[in-house]
Amino acid sequence: MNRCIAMLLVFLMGACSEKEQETVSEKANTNTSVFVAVTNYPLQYFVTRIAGDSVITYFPSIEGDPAYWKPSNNELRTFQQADLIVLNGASYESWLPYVTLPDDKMVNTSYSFSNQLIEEDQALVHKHGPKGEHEHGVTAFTTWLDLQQAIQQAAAVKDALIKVLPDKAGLFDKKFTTLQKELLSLDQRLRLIGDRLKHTPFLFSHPVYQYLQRRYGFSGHALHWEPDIMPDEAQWQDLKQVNGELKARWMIWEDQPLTNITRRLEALNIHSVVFNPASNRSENEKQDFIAVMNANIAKLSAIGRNHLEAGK
Amino acid sequence: MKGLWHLAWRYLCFHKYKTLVLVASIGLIVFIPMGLNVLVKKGSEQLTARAEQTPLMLGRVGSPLELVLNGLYFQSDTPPPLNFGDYLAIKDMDMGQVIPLHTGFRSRGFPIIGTRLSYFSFRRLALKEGRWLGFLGEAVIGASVARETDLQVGDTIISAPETAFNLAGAYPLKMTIVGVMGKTSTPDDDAILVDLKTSWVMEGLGHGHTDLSKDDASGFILNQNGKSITANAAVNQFQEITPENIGSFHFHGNIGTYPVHAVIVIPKDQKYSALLQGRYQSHATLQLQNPASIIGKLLETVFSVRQYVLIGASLMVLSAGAMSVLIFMLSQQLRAHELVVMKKIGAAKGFVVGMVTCEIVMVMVSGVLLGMILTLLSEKYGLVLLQSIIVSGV
Repeated sequence: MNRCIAMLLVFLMGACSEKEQETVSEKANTNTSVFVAVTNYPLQYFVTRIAGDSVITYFPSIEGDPAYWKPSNNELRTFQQADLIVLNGASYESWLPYVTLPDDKMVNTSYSFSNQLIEEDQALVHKHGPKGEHEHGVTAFTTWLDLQQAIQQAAAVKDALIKVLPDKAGLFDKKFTTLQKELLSLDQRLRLIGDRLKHTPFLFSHPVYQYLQRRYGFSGHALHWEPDIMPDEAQWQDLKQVNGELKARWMIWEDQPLTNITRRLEALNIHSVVFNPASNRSENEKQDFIAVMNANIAKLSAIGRNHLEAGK
Repeated sequence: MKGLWHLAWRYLCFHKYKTLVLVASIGLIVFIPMGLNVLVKKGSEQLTARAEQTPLMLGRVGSPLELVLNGLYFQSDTPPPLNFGDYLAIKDMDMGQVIPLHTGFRSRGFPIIGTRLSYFSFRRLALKEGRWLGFLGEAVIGASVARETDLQVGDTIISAPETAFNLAGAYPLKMTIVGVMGKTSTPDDDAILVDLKTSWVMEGLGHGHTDLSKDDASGFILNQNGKSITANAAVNQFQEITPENIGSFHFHGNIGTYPVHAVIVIPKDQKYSALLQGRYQSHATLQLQNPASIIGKLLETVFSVRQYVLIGASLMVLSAGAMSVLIFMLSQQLRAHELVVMKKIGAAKGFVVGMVTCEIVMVMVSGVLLGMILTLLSEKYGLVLLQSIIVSGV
């Protein structure tokens, strides 16, 4: 009997040391490890949530919207050295046509729904020279605001990470499933709000909410207003003209607008609400992608409640 | 015995020109067959090494030899292009690494190769100075290009269209040299490497021009109907890509139809190699070739020619050998009086024969040594010689 207990102890000790070794080697791998470059914050968030410390994520320090970022020589070199380059696709990376990147390391996360991308109306068609007419198309690129698309993008991230680190497939699958559940929950909540507000017209400060509108049924008109720049009189006139027909009481902004803008809008009976697309890192480090989306949903939810109360 | 060697040595030193000619002749007799063999061997190694490093090559249906020679050595006529979509299709199969090559342009006689960054790592190319390609309109040049043109990092190089009659689409493009590669003794030394998209700009498929939606472009606009603008031929198209205008560069139409002249395919393993070859075996428009096999067939032809060359060289060696024997015999006749004098002053007959034998041995050994040294030198430096002779000849 004693012999059996001793054997069991030896076996358990062996098992423990193996587990410890695994942890150590995992950490060592982390230090050497896979280097993933991303082009916007949602992608960085997905990579971090799925791969955690297994990879080093590089998201350049960008001021403003990463969609309008252009890489410097050094930033491009860092991208070239990455083991995996995670792209948003949908023309988000407008700099991609004129840089050299290793195409076997690039993954376009919106590829799976590329046939559902929204082509913008303001595309410019021009023709000259022997090749004739061609279009400088503008594709709506804030793809992750349709949370179902965000899930597909996260799945593409997970698949790409598994290709680079096949040993961690189980771990990545597990973490992706958790993330997927959270994104699905956001999606369901937005759908409920969308149902409630489907007859409520909105003004959008920028044309970045196309996928949010399509998926959740928010209707309205997009302007080209910056939250930190007071619109000129022509823009105010345009707003009055547009809203004459639209009769929107809410204007959705990417960021908190200047107080004098909100006051003037209030005078026109238009209330401002911020729906942050979370393209870039939040200044508040505690505000991750899910937290930002939760805050967005809470604000839209408040509109929904007001709407219901007004209805009663 | 020591006296024999001494006298023989003194004799050869006294008749130094005759001795040098004899040693050189014998050296060449030894070197010609051995050196020829070494050079041909090195040449075939040179040709097959690059082919063997390149597992498979995809191209448009046509001459397999033209495809392989163009894809490997950037020589011969440019093969008919396949579509970039065909490259994407084989890439999507995920059976291995694929590297596209666009070989349609030259500059100052050197081929401009449009490719991807993976080409540099696949061919294990290293930089001597500068950096790898980063942006559209940049070029990295091979060691020979840098040496022969005196170009260096920061200089510019202008592309020339492949044909002088392609006035419709191919515009000369001024490219900035951002890197110079180290010497590899391969065709990459003679290449100007650019991004594939830069080659497409040279093709006229992509370009940058004045923003037609801006007010100052009104002079170029023939007609504007809603979002459709028709510009006239005077619209300013940029022929140099700079940080200021790079953002205006764009590509037209379906990228899947853009041209690529060859695609290097590196299957994950033998199984995938067989699968890929099976898929393209009876393809209507594409061919997937094994470069080693194509070059092997080419070398079989070269080797059959080599047999005749070797037979000719052997006959030459035989006749040269016979001439050398004749020279030795005639030399003895000329020295008859001298040998008689030696006997009269007391040299034994055996001594005289021994001395002559020593002279012949010294000349023969020196000649053979010279031949072997020349062979060794050709083994070491013949590769460089062949690089410039054989490859440029192909």
